[in-house]
Amino acid sequence: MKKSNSNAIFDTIATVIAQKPSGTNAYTLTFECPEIAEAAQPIQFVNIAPVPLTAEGSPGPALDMLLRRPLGFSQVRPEQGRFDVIYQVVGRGTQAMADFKPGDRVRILGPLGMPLTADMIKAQTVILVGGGLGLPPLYDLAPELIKAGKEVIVIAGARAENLLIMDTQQCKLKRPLPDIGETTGFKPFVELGADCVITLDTPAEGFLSGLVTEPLNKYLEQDFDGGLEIIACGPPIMMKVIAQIARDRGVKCRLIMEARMGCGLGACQACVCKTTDGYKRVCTEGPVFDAEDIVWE
Amino acid sequence: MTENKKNDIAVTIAGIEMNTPLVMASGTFGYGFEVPRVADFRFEDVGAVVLKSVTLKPRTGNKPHRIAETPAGVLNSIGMQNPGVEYVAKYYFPMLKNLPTKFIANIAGESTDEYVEVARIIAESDAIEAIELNISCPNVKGGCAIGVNPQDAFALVSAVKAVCGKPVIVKLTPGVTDIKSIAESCIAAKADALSVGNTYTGMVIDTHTRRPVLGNNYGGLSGPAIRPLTVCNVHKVRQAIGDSAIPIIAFGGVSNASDAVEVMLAGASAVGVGTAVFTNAHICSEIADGLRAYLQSQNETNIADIVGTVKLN
Ligand SMILES: Cc1cc2nc3c(=O)[nH]c(=O)nc-3n(C[C@H](O)[C@H](O)[C@H](O)COP(=O)(O)OP(=O)(O)OC[C@H]3O[C@@H](n4cnc5c(N)ncnc54)[C@H](O)[C@@H]3O)c2cc1C
Ligand SMILES: Cc1cc2nc3c(=O)[nH]c(=O)nc-3n(C[C@H](O)[C@H](O)[C@H](O)COP(=O)(O)O)c2cc1C
Ligand code: FES
Repeated sequence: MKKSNSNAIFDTIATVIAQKPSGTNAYTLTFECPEIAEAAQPIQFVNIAPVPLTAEGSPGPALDMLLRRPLGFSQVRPEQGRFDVIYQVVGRGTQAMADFKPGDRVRILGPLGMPLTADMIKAQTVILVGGGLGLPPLYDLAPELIKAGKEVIVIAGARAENLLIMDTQQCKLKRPLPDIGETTGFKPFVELGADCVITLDTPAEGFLSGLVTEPLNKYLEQDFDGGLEIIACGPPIMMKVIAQIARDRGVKCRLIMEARMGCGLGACQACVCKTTDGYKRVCTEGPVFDAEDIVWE
Repeated sequence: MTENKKNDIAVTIAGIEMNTPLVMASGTFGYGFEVPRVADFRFEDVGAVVLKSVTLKPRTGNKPHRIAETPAGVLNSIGMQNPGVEYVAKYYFPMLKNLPTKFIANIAGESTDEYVEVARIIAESDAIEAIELNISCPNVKGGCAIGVNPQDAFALVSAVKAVCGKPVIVKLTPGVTDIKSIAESCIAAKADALSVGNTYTGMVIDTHTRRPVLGNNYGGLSGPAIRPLTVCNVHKVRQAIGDSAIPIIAFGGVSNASDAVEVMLAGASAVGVGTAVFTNAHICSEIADGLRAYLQSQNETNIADIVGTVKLN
């Protein structure tokens, strides 16, 4: 249970506890950092230096890669003073992070951004749509929603089976889709009591094929008496399409946006995304935005 | 005058008494209150904060991406996003009162009249200790024009001095061919201090998409990559204007105490810290501690005594 409601942000040193592969070219990284683990709330994130501190505590080679990389919490365990992030190697920084070893000390800033908590969501049913590495932050949110008594449906998209970042299992959908009563979902979500379907660009046995929007559209045909909300996190193109679908159907939709960051603290104005009310900072006003407010360029 | 304490890193620049020679650089420290949201932030180690550039009218800023990482540096093209001087003076300045450091407002504009109008509004605030004129920003059209020409620089500084009773610091563009003559014309116009160094215009291209990474195509390069340029520019300007002339605040590439000492040895009386805040919000405290340790190791009592003491080969 996340208890703290404080807005404290820490620029501190976290210790790497473990790093394990999660699918292909992606890793789950566990940090020990009690102050951040206690303050973290769903959908917040941390900015992580891609190079550990030297033994003397100086940034050392990190002065070559100056910017800290934003990663969403995938799981926070305040009672252990630990949290996980799941990241994909996409460039220089994440490549360097793949070399993190247990015991490494890393400069880290967080928790950042405005949280999204269950009490902020009126709808009884929430569809979480995660594209690729957009999924981990939603995994941090899901338990809160379920604890609050909401129905949670997870639609996860990936390019291929070998890129799936979590364990999978067969599951019976509580809310079946036409022709689909049983499918393969992500184990951690299924164990929480959520319905979970996975769509793959490259078809594979037991999974749905195609884009996340296909099952999404099918769900949207159904009745949701207690109201419905979509929360999506993933590549911009996916979120743009989902925003359009939500608008067409008149369903409330929130998006978790990404932007390149400098300070992470609202000071530099680097991390903006365009909204109907001008440029807004992902690190401060975000990362969650109302889909209606986003101006797509 | 109080007796200097041992290992004293306090300095006085243009009449502003600062806890340390460390000055948070404009644009990297927001309006003074954002970065200190981190727990245990020590304002006592900050000599002064230069606020984000303000303009007369609000500016929306450039389209993203606004920042790109380069080897030992970052390229930014924020484009002076700011809500305009009236908003800043009304809502942000009052938040700065009673904080244990000094605040310097930074002004940008596209004409002398604009600078003067903004300076007039800011001069009324008692939260602000001094004004820094940004005549060297590469991210807005017109911003650079004044910084590259000694006559214009003279006219601008004189005009602002005429309406502003607070110290006026001029931030010189480092990209010009003759930084000395611009520095001299600022002094002739009664500038109270010079900020030497800003970003250097650069470009990064994504080789896959064949498009520039920054939405604005070009940006300003900062960070450790530019430090040797800062050291050299500070030294050149210090030699040109002489030791007894107005103080220099160095900007560009300082990320630890050794870097800070380096620019001070070259002739800077105070040291800007910008991009390094992105790597560690507490960087200023780390540098301040390092400066105190340096004084001790060098048997010096006062940081001001090391300014300009580099011995040339
Ligand atoms: C709020 C937020 C949460 C995120 N959560 C996750 C997550 O849980 N898992 C995950 O795998 N990824 C996540 N990302 C994306 C992740 O930050 C980037 O993949 C990562 O920064 C790439 O770094 P790099 O050095 O490998 O790439 P490079 O392209 O070499 O990076 C160059 C610079 O661009 C920045 N950058 C590049 N791509 C992105 C991007 N998509 N978003 C923001 N900055 C970028 C880098 O931080 C760095 O400053 C998140 C981004 C944001 C903004
Ligand atoms: C993101 C960013 C925004 C900046 N914005 C401004 C600005 O608005 N006005 C200004 O005078 N300088 C601005 N600068 C320049 C800095 O104040 C400083 O002169 C420069 O970055 C060099 O110092 P550094 O290497 O320590 O960062 C900006 C720099 C960065 C990185
Ligand atoms: S990263 Fe600096 S304002 Fe968001």
